[in-house]
Amino acid sequence: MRKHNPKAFKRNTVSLYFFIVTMVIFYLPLIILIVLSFNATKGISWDGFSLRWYNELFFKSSKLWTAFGNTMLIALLAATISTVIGTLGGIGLYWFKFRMKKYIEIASYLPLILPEIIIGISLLIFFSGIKFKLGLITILIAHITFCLPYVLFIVMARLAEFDYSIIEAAHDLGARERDTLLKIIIPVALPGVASGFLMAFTLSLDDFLITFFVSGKGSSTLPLEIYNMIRFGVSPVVNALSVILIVGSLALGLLSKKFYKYMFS
Amino acid sequence: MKKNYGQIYTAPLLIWITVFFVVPIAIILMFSFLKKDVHGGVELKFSIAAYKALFNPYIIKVAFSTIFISIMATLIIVFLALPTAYYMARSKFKDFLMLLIIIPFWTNFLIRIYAWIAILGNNGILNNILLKLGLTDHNIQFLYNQWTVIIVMAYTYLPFAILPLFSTIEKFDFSLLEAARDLGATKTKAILKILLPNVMPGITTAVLFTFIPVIGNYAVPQLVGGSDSIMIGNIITHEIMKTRNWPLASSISLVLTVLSTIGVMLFMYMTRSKTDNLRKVREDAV
Amino acid sequence: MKPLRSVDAVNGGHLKIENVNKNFGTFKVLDNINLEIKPGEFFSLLGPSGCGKTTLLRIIAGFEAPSVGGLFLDNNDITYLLSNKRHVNTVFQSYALFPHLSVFENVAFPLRLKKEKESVIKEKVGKYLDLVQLNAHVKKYPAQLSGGQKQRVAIARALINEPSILLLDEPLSALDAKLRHKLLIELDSIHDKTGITFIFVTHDQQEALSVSDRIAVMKDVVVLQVGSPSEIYETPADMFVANFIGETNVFVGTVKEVLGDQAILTVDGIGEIKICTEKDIKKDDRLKCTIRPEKIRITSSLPDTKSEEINVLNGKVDELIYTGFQSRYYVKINNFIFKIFKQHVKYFMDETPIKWKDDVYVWWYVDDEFIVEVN
Repeated sequence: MRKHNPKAFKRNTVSLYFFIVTMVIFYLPLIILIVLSFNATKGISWDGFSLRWYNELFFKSSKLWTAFGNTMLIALLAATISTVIGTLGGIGLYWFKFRMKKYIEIASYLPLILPEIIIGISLLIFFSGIKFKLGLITILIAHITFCLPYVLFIVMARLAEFDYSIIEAAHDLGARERDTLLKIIIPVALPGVASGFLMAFTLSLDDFLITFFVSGKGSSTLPLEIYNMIRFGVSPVVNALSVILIVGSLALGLLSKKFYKYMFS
Repeated sequence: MKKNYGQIYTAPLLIWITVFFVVPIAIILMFSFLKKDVHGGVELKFSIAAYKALFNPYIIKVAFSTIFISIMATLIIVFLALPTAYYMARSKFKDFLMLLIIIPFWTNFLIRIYAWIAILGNNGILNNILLKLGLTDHNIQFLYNQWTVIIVMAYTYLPFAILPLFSTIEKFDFSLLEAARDLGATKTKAILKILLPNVMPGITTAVLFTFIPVIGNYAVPQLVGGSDSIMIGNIITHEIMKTRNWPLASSISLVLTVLSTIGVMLFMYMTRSKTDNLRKVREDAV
Repeated sequence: MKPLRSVDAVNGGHLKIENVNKNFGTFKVLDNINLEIKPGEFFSLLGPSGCGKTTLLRIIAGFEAPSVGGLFLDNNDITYLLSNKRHVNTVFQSYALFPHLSVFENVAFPLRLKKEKESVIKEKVGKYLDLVQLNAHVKKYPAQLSGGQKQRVAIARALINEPSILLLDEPLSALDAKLRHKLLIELDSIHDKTGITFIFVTHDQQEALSVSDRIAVMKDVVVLQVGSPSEIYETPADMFVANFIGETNVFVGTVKEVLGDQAILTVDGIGEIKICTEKDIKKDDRLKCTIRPEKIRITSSLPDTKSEEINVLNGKVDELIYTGFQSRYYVKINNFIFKIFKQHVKYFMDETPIKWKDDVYVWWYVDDEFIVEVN
């Protein structure tokens, strides 16, 4: 028998270069931000170690913290609500045939292939049309709307791994629909549901554009605050905030690695 | 016989997506055919003024530049993401490399853009270094042109392409590449003829995940763009927030919707024929 | 052939399938099925894929409703009863084990639904896991089990409700040959121990023949024949059944003349042979007649048997396949290839072995033939 050289495709020199380039592009700016956040002065050149900007961030930036609170509250609520609606919808769409199914599928797919700005604008016009005051509620509604399709498809990707027989088996063994939902479908779909929740949570945390349109006076979120800070010049407080957020992302990243499988299938 | 619970399960989704997505989209469709109100709303009078206004040379120019920026950024992204994802999928330390991509993916994109401003800005790190080294005697303006918009876009949305590509390439059976080489293909040929057609669904996802947010972008041109890199998103926002011409904002939004849908369809159609054939071959084999 | 067991077992359900039709849209999948399955019977639905056997099983399980017709379990109409209300349980082809539950919890699932006491659950699950010999693996999860083990869990889980009928949907198809055989024997013994009526869907005639009390052979949405394994094998209702159940030699010919209890058949491509007149045949009838390969003898010299009892032909060995327990000869006579399976009863053969290209005599008893179709 002829032996293959198992290393023939292992020496991925070209792709390694590409990988390194990508890593430099990703991490060089982040590392610079981290370093600058500990700089004693406002400038770009290093003037000694200091926690000055962290001090300013934690104790003199109440506006930022209000925005942070809003962001977390909205992200939690949006993720929870869109996960519940999306999971139930995913189960219904994946395992049943009924009227209006096609409509629901198309209407749920569409937001995924439309630019965010369209959703932002249409909701802004919708809310002004029905004279609904812009604020945290409108942000929450908008976030649920754009998170729903993601949750839906992540849950469905998970359901696709199981054949319908397990549902039939549950019925066959005496389970009613409610038993089947609570004892079989939800537990089986749980990794997908968790991935969906996490995806929705991070999408909501990060969203700038849609929030930009549907937020009102006094209902700012962290991305909006960051955007304003960046627009009005480089402030070292942003550096400090960035480091905190990068650390947060690291934690989220570690947590979500387990679930990424369903997010991109 | 099971009762049909599908409608019960999907009722909340149906209601939500109808009220907060379908109806608002229908409203902007309607608004685009209405007359602009002097106070910044609409009058209930039919008008195609908003569509006539689309033929303004400025809007057409911006539309073309938006398409150009989106295509260029997407190309750069796929060019970088494919080999990167391939390397990750073949590595022994997949999990760790995955994490390295996930961190920037979860890091707020505004922060990541801000970091580049700190580097490339007029008083940024690069200028500082160049001045110190004496390579230049004045601050160079790297930012605020079309290419910085393209590059920052590519940088911002790169993780969105790497992750789905990695997922697909990871599932690929690499022994096929060895088989191809065994049959006499060069390494490059094996990758182009065997790997690429097999990971087409991943490429499709990667392109959709990047092209769509780029074409409707607002923040990137606002932060690092100049007068030559204004995009459709900026015009829409301007019409909505500043001039309050809602019919025009609506009609431009619809154009953007159509543009991105056509782009998506065209791309799906181009890649579909290949993946479909592949699927057929696989089904026949089974 | 296995001995028939007494069919008065108390546990087994009595199922009557009356005039069942099923259409999916305009596509007919079952046409007028009438079957009666006796209490405690091991009944097989046998047929190639697409014959409707799985649909019929799903109708019995309650996952589908018939378009026309009815089902009666112990004389109660269950046609439209929901699957969770029927005393019928299913062993699925894909096992359908709940991936998030341990072996124990999978089997205990139906009992937990009924809110049985913990002690009852423990005892019963233990009993059924004993029955399928899986007590050593109670804490494992489905993903940690082999195919055979998964199938045993599925069987125990389907039995724990003590159904009156157990449905088995190609339960062995995903297993390798040896394991399949072993599990088949176990299934048979579980059937004997529980006395439950088994309805077994399979496309494998060997499986069906070896364990069934009766078999329904299905093809293209209809039932072709219902009978015991030996009836189906020895007296197939038509050519399809004859060919589908094991291998056979088929003669197509015209009746030359009828002579009392024998007739002379002119077989296309072979010549004249004698046949029994067990079916009502006349001169000039066209008919199809079969003889099983293991019933044909192959010898180098003429047999010394009364010539009116046998048909003897002369030919050349075209192909010879040695399979260990038997040799398969393919003998060419005129334009016809005879299949002949000869069991090896002794290692040292008394006579000189028959070799490839040898001239041989092929002969069989006239009453071993079976006339399948007359037209």
